[in-house]
Amino acid sequence: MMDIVVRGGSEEENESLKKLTENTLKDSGLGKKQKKMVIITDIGIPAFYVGVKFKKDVEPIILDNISMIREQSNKTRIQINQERYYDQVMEKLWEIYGKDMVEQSERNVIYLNKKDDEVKNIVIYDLTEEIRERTIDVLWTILPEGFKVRHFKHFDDGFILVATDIPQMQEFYNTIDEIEKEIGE
Amino acid sequence: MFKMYVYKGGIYRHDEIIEQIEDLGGIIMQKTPMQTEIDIVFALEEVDKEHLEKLSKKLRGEILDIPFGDMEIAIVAPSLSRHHLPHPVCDLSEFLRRYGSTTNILGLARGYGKTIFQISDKEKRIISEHDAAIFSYGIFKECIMIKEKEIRTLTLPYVICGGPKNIEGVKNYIGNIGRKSGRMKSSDDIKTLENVKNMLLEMVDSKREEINKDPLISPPVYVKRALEQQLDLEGTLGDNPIVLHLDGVRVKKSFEEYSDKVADVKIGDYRLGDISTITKSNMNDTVIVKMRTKSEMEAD
Amino acid sequence: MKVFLNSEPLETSKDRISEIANIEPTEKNPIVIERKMTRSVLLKNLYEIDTNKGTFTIETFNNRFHEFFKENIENFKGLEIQWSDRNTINFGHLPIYMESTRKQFDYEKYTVLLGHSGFDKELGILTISKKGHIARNGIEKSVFGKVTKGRHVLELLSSNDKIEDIREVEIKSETYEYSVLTNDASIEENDNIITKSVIEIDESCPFAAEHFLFLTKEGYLEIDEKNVTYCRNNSLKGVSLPQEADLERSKGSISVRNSGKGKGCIYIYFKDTIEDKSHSVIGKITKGLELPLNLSPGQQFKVEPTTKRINTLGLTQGEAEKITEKMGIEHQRSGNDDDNAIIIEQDPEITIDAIKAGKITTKGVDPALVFKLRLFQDKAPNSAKYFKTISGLATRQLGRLEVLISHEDLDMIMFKGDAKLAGELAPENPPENGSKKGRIGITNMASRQRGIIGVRFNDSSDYGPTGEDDYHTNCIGEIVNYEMLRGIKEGSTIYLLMEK
Repeated sequence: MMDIVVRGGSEEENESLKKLTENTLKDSGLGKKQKKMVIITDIGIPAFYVGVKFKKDVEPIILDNISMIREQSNKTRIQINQERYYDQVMEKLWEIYGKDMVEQSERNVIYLNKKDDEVKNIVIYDLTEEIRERTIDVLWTILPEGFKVRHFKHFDDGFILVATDIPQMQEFYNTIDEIEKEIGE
Repeated sequence: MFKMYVYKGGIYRHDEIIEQIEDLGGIIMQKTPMQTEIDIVFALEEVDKEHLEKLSKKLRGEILDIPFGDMEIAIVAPSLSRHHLPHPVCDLSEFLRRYGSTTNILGLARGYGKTIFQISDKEKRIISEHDAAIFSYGIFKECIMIKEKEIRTLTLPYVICGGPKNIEGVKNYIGNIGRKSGRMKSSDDIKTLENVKNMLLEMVDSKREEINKDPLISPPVYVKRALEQQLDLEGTLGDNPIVLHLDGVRVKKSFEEYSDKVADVKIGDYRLGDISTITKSNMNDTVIVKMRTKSEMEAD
Repeated sequence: MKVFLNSEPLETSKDRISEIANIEPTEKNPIVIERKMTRSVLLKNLYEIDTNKGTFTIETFNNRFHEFFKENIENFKGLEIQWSDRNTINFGHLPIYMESTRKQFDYEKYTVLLGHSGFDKELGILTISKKGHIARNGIEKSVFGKVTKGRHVLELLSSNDKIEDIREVEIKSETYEYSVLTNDASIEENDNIITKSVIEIDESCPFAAEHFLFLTKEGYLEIDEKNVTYCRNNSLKGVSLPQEADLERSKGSISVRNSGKGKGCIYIYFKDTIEDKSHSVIGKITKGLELPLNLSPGQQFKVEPTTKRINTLGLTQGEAEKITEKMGIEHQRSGNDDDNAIIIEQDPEITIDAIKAGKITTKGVDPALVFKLRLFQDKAPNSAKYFKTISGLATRQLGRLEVLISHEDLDMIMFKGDAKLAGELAPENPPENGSKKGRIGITNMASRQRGIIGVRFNDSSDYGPTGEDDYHTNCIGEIVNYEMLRGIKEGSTIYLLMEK
């Protein structure tokens, strides 16, 4: 399970919030995906600060992982092994090369009308982004409802969020920097 | 003074229970048959319960107290959202319903947050129409204290539920609830729910005693029966168009259409409109009937 | 010495019940003695306060402020309202020499307390709180009571209204002691001997009232069941009655159940209860409710309805005329109008309808068609019940049967029954040593011809009164003048009277 730290309120309040967070993450299936989460409550202002770091082994999936790539005359033959990624592969290739360069001859075979060494490294699916989105969604249900004024600082493998129910203040940004150091590497 | 009970037993010979209740001067409120079992909710004077229990024992049934059976309780959540529903609000509601009450879950429009928290006058009026209220707040002490200040003006019995075990300065408070991520079914949770129910029961009992000292001209259960017999109340959602209050009833029908008909109903020698005040509810166009007291009528 | 007989005063030199009331109480027919015991009990601290705008009641609890109020109650009378606002009403002034304080207190709604106006002990006030509020009233924690009744009066009071009177409501309890006597005994001065219950009959439920009058035609009512709320008689259980007016069952009311398993049962109520469609209220015990209140199941007591039952079935036309003359009701004869003709129909038959109409018409028949019978109630209770239901003897003193089979060569006569009703008639009291003449037999459920009633004119060792063998026959009684049954034709009706 991930490491969750809650502080800022009384012992009771911290314990309550920690339990709620643990249960909610577990129910949503995100428990194993995070490495560390820090929540600081400052009910006086009031504001909530949350710092999250994802696990490093959450690597993006590149085309090489899920297909067999062969160069055939002037084209690149891509045979996709995992059905669930057909759509994403098509979309990515269209995005990078344009629709007219991409041909789907069979259900799982795509021809790219050029040769490119970098094809195998194309990122098809970045789990991290999905984790990020899902974690943010879950946080909305963990934090109290009234805290709708929010500010994010995103990193590659995590983010820091501050939520409050009043307009923001400079102190927030200062504390964000402090936390960034804490969740560290 | 009538008290509410429920008989749980077999369908076989349940007509004898019904006859016995009628003989003792009780009122049958609701019958719920389920295959070979039946639940009969009824009102009876407390002195008669013992005699009825003799028959119930013979038929291998049981009679349970439902102390909130003649009440409408409001469960107030800061808003209707995932944060508050279904846990713990629906757990509270279901628990109280086991003791007979009709519960309404109310979500405030702007009840969340700390600085932005608001409860409007209309919301307070809607809550005040009920016999009791349960406020389900979160886990932060300061927050609960601020929210509690706003509701101090309410005169109906209320219980505040929150996370911290104790909060000084907040009356009628039960801790260990606050925010839950799942159903409250551990033995600790059940104990907490029992505490809520017991606290509410105490407050409601003293309110009942006060009503007893200056008794109503006619008991609400009797008024409910008269309304059901004399008015055509078909077509309302659910089979409970009349909800009991400690001092009257709520008729779930449009005020414009039904207020005159309700006023014309005969209660014994009286006309209901003469022995009660009939107003439009602040909540969902329904009719609120509040009974007057015997001493008020004598003074007239 | 002075005693009371059914609450009527009586001077007597005797002291035994049998001598005074002419009654010997027995285990089955006891009487009740009511003896007064005065016990003075101050139950609660209640005061009624009269103002010119109405009366309200306060309930006090014992503390020194209440003591002050009680001791100086005369000084509180006549106090005027000095000021009132949305939170309080203040009556004053009178001197209250108690410690003054400037502290604030939280006062609950409807509390009654003492105070000082302007913290001056000479200007003491009686304050009534209309709403929960925080204030300083001059005296520390001086709440001594709460307004319980008449709270609406508080809203009507304003400047210049005043207290007109204050009354202490002391509840003295004078209790009565009741003893149930099952033998003759001596009584004391001022004892009340209660020997009967007087019942005022109500006109709203004529059928139910008739049912009750029929049950009590001998003048007694037996208690079969009893609890805190009512006592019940089950003698006529199972008799169907129409639904009539539903009236409140107040204390002392008598009602008859008109539907359900307990239909036909009679209830006497010991406390006020609400009305119900399944109960027809026929009247009220106006005197002597102490009898059913104190007697136990199995005992019976004398009842005296104020309305006498008018039912001439089974009497002769001549007898009916004498009765109607005494009651002041017109009488008309029909059918066989001979003085000795037996009355088989009366119109109107229901007493209350007859009294309203002021006249009855009685139809008579030749006495040769009326037969006396005895029923073996103890030996064959279920069959007797069936017979009574078929013949109508369950609800009337005159029954009737329709002849099913009769022939001059046949040694018995058979009457119509009800096969459906007899479907539950188990074998009961079979004939012993053959069937005797005159005995009434019923074919029980073991045979296909169940329900048929029959009487033999001669003894028979093989067959019963209905032509069946012993196993299929229930022997339920005998007709006294059975010989007269010979010659009655098929299809005709015979009439039955129970032998007295």
